[in-house]
Amino acid sequence: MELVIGGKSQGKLNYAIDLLNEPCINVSDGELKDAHIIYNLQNIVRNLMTEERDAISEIDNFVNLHPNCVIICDEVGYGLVPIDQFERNYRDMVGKICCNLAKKATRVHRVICGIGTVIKDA
Amino acid sequence: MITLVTGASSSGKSLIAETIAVTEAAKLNCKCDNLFYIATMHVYDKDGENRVQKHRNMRADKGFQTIEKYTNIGEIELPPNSSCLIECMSNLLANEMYDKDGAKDNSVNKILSDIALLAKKAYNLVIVTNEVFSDGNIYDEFCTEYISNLGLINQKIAGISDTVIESVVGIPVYLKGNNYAYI
Repeated sequence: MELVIGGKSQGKLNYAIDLLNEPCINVSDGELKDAHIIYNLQNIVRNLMTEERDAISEIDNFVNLHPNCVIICDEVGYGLVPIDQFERNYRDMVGKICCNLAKKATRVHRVICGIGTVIKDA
Repeated sequence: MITLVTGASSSGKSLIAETIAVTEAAKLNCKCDNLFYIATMHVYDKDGENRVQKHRNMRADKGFQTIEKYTNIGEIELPPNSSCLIECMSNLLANEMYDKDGAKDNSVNKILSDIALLAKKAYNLVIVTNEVFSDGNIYDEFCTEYISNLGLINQKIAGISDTVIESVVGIPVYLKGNNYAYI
């Protein structure tokens, strides 16, 4: 599994598609489905939390079953602490899950201005 | 030659960008004035005034000729052997999107074609932009469009740049291109 992170609107999806370099690439946007690329993981976390489900273990199980996928997630932790408790929990959860995924990932890429930097290469 | 400098607010982007613009201008061995600064920030209040003054003080005595231009920067004339710093993209985009004489819905294309025009005129362009993409907030449509436009502009300009730098606590982290040994 490879993890691609970065801010909003940085070209992460195009970067991941180039990375895979395959003729036919399935992208699952905001859902844990069988696909080459899981896009907008932060939305998946938000939805699981809204439904009061265990985001950490559901995502962990998914990755165990799909060890070759590329996961794309927005970095969400660079602002002030939100006033709303759910938003705080959400930011913490996205951060924690990305740390977990980064540990498992063979490679971690950070994309800024469309340019990816490999920040972990196992 | 184009260099894009990005980074968080107050992360030392301006000093890095000024150093590149000044050093590259000096290398051109030009007898006439060839160092320009395109200032894109509209001043609306006291805070804006202070911010502009801080930047003026920072670049005083460095030999910049300042051109204040809030929209349509492509029409600025620059001599061929010049070095020009544009500061900054986040203000320019807001002006193009929201000013009465701005490009409105066509802002991204307008800015990209203006940058391409200036890159043809000047020998060296240094462009300062801003990282506003990672706070995790969900904004209204108005702000979301602005953030997405700035992200797209940054990607496109990075694509045509020779060097892309992220300034982190004043340290240049090179995302693309060769290191400037003098920073």
